Amino acid sequence: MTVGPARARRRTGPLASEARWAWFFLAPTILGLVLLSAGPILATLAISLTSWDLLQAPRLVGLQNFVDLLGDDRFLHALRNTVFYTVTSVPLGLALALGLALALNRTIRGIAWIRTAYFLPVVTSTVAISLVWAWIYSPEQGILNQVLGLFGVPAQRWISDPFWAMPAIVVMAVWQGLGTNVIIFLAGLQAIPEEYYDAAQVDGAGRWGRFRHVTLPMLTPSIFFTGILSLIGSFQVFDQVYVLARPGRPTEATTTVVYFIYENGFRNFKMGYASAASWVLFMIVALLTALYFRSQSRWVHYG
Amino acid sequence: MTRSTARLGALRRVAGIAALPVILAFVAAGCGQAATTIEYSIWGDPAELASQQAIVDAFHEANPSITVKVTVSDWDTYWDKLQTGLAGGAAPDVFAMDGPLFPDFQSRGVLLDLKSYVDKDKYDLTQLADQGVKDFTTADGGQYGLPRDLNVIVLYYNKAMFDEAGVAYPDDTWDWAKLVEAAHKLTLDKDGDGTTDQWGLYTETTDMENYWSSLVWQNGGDIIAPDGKSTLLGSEEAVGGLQFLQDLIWKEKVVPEPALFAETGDAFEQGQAAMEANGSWLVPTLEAAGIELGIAPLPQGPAGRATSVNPTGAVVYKDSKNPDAAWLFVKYLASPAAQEKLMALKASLPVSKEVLAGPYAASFDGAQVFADSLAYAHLKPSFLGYNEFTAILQEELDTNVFNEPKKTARDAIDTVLAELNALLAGQ
Amino acid sequence: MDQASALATLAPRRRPRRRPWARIGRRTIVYALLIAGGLLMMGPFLWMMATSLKTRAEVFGSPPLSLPSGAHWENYARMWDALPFSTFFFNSVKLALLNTAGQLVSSSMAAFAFATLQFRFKGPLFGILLATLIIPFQVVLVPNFILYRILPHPLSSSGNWINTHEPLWVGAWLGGAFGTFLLRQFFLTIPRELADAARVDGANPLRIFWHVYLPLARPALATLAIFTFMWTWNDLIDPLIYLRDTELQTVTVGLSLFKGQFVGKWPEMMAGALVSLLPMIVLFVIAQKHFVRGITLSGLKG
Repeated sequence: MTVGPARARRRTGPLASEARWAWFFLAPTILGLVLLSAGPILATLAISLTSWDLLQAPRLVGLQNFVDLLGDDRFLHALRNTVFYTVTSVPLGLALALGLALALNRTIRGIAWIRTAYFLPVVTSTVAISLVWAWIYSPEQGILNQVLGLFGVPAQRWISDPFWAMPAIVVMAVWQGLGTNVIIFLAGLQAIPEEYYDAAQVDGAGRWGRFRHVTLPMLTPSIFFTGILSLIGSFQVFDQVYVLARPGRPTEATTTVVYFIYENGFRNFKMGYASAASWVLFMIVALLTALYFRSQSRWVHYG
Repeated sequence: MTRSTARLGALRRVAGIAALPVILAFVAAGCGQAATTIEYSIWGDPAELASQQAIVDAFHEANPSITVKVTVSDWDTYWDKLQTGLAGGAAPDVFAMDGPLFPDFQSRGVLLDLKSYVDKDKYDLTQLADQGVKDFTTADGGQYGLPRDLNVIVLYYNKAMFDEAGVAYPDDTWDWAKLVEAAHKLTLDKDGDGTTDQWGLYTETTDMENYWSSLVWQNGGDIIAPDGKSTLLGSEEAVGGLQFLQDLIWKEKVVPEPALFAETGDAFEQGQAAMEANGSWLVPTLEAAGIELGIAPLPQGPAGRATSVNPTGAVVYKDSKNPDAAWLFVKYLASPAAQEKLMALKASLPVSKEVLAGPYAASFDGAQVFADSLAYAHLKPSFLGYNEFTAILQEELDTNVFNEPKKTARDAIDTVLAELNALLAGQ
Repeated sequence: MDQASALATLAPRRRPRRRPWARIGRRTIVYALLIAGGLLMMGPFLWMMATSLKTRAEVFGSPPLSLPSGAHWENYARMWDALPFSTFFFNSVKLALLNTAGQLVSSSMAAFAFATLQFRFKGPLFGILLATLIIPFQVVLVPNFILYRILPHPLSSSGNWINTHEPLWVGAWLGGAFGTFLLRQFFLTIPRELADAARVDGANPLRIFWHVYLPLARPALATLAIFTFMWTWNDLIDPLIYLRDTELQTVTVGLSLFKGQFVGKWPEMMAGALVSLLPMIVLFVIAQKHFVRGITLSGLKG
């Protein structure tokens, strides 16, 4: 490496070779992006403009799939159910997790055991959880109805009941997802410096005031993070719905957008139609995420 | 002999022995008798695998060069796997096909037309039950499979419960009124806690086969027009059949509401119902449950006797690598030899007329009822668009008629009639 | 603010007589709630275990809040025989390990590039990667399936990748947004001086990666490994879509068969669910620290 005048910077040299190394390190990732994640997004759009059953050649139909989606009751139900699921499970999950984290935010004996208890549902498969809760919700012998029966509440049909089916699934999902959010909130809580609390106390703030003016604002980054995780996750709900509906398929009360994609694409051989639904899902999630990120400046305090 | 020549001799002997299999293989290939393996996939009770294996082994004895690998899955999983296989380009060589679902699969071009084999072998299709063959024949004369067995709907009853309640066993004089009367006597609250513990009649509601299609026919109605382009469910008679079932659940309260047993399964099998209107495939399951089983024909309706008959067939995958072997196996399944083995399973009726007329009726207690019912059985509707049709129809019926009495059968049918007709017309 | 509280803040050490009771009371309530909450969280698992040890008659006959009459372990034997669980477990372990290895390799490589190297399109590329984090993978299910159907596979009965294990792990070797993101955060905290010292010694980026960054990143790698293992183990939709043969199926799919095939056989079903949970529970108990760290690591930096 020669040391020449500052102007004569070589194009080859440490910077260029570094770039070559970068491409080496990134080769698998780039391949993955092109073939499996970013690239296929465009492919989904292309396929959604066709009618294709994989056995015969694809047939171009333009926007017909999207028009059909708008008129498809099952898709509209799936959208409604998925939105309901998001709108209820996300706030509920966050609020409960926050409360739990606040309560757990002290050095108590046996904290490790309590933490295990709360985190266990997170690591266990949704399929197994769905089986257990199917049993808990069972109309005749399920423990929930039996316990409610002790208080004189009549037995509900839960999963088979069009009104209660989705809320039942939401409860199960919130139960399972609590652990993750509690951990994140706990970390966030522990990162709040004591001085802030002291200062607030000097200013005369009581418990509620300290919470409102110190804890909550300082936690907003964590809330933001858990919020986006939960939001994106909630649109992917599939496992519970698939398992709970067996034998058979989800009813109009429990079908979700991902199940709709699965059923149309991989059971009914309607690849184009399923792709159109996938694209709608993508647009909704992208839009919500963009709005969510935009709102950051409004309510999230960093540092 | 010197050591080197001895070694050479030994070497030649070894080479000769080693060459033998190679030569044999060449000979075998030349004769076209190379061993083939074909895959045979069916739905059923996975516990039946042993019995199915027996049938497969018998075929292998008769055709030593063909090995059949059989897999049994439950109904839901079976179709899942089949769809995945077809979408991925690899399906079993021979697989079971449900009569009503045949048109949709055949129209997708995934089944092999066996007509050329039938003609070449001069196979006599009339030796098999007509309803069975018809379901796998296409309008243009193609024959895309052979029927393997038939299923009808009957009335099962628990003799012990009847004895306890002092009710006479069901027989062929029973009609709808008698059914309701007996069911009332058999619907009991045994422990006095206000909930029914024993139901008079149990039936499923989510598929027309068991058992509302029979009710529609017994009332004089029908489901699909002969040309398959419109539905006949709008008639008073058809609606009457559906209304009868809703009344059994919600007015007479002798049939449990579907939600009660959705999780736990068959109420009759679990000893919580005195009668069950369901298919012939249940015999092994019910016997295994230890019930004193009685089998009677379905009660007749205002317009006479009717039940549903549904063939299951064996079809060949269009892209099978061993179509000849597959045809041999399909043919075997419909042959009297295999049919008698299937008969021994007690799970369905044979399609071979010879076996039906011969040993079947006496093969077990109640087989006669099954055999007789074929005379007045209607074929389960089979048409293009079957899946979508039933999805729309059942969703409406389940939500508003059977699971909860939100609408009368008439209102429910009126709600979906236009949509169903449009669907059929567009096929 | 009234006089009393103003006085209280000025002289925090002076405690009015009511305070100790209030504090103990509050503490007790919190404890009680936590324990109740903990029981609620563990409840379903305990219930699962209890049901798996009852006989079928007990399940339907006796009041549900009762304990089993004895430990009916035969339910487990029946469950294990009903479906080929040993095959399912083997497949799940195989796929989980393959995925974990793949993610560790490809994500660490990509993270290293983003954290330490300079190159054109670094910003946009990272942006695209982050964006994929937000896309639900179900959106690209159809194109992925079609891709795997086109790819030739010499050993498969269909000639393509459908009905083989490959679609379920090869993708893990092609990078992952979560892993890359996690490891990049971690790599950024490693002091530049270490890398610079190595570079002065003539090391190329690969050696720096292998000898400097990877060893220091063990905690983050452990976390990524655990999360990848867990996600692969619990994945349902991918084996459902790509696999046909029973011999290839995983534990999740096998378990879901219980709900279709064994309707009403709750003891066996609960036994199956419990057994399928055990590996993850064991993993969690051993590696709790890493689970927690992983979540906080990704959460704090926002």
